[in-house]
Amino acid sequence: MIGLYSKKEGAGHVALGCEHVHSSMLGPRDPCAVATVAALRAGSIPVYVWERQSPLGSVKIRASRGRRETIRTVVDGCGVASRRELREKLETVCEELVSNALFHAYRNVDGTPRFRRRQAVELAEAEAIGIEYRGSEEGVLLSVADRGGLLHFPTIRSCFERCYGASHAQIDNKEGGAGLGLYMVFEAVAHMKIVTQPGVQTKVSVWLPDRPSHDRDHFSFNFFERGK
Amino acid sequence: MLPTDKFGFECKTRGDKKVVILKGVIDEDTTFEGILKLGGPYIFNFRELTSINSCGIRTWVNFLKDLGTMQIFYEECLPLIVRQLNMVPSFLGGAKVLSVYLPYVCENCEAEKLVLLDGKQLDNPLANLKETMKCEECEKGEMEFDGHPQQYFAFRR
Repeated sequence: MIGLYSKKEGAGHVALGCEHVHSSMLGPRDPCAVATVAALRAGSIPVYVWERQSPLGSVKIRASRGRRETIRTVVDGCGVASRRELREKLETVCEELVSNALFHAYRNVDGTPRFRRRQAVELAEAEAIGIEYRGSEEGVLLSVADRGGLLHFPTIRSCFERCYGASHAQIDNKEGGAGLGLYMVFEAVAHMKIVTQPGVQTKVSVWLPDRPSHDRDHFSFNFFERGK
Repeated sequence: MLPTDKFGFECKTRGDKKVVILKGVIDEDTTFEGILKLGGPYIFNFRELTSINSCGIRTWVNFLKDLGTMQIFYEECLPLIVRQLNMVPSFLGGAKVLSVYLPYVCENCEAEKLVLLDGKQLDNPLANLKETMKCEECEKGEMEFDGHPQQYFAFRR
């Protein structure tokens, strides 16, 4: 879907099953939208303009208990400590993506969840969650990758459907997460790209603009599944 | 009182109400049993809260459900709390907001400042919100409201 939408309208398209949503004043001439269309035609996965910066820092995390220190490292590394709104949004986005990866990216052989949300998670070296980041005056590029590859589009779709729908049914009270994390991330960022290779890896990359002068209706959401 | 090393609270009395100052981080490990035992009505003060994640929001919303029809007030809501109020309506539940902090940033020196909006000012927050003010740090630049005024107060609709 390419057009000019509010975040809620954009999420509504995702909830209806659309894996690619671009909202911009430029419409189909928006560079990210152009990249998506070209990639879909070629059967490839695009590298967007906002991703075209090599990461400034990277860090790995294996344990849930130490994640706040790791997130602080990322925030400090992005140089946004003195920019309250961006700093707080980055903390939120990082916390939600890292928590999702730590608690939900891995399952037991029988398919049951490997960890409960109140459990202390300790991953093996090969399962470590990778975080890459770069901060600039324009904003922050952040990506979080796990080695589970379990984040599928229906999960995102149902999250958006629930969170942007009837307000009092936003929260998932079943065992596991609250089901709000991806919604909180999507609300905080301008661009969001998820690439899942089932059973191998999920990488979520986001762009957080600095200052609210950024047009909130300029955003994108893209989900790609390798080997589909 | 420190139920966990990440979250704590302090309680004071104001009239017939308990003022509970929430401190630290609200996440999947947080419980509010200690607050529940105090008995209400409550005024929850958020000025010392540093972070709340999605599981913390769920815990808080379920805590509000446990409080039933008890009178609840929120005061000194930081921008991070205002964001939750706007994103998750059940985070507010039936509580009444007494005061919120408005974030400002200087265009010149990037100094930040929080200004409290309370009382009658909250009846018409957009009219009472100053979009700019003189920066007291550098005394040269103007501090601007760091957000979209209408979006910031969307929770009041």
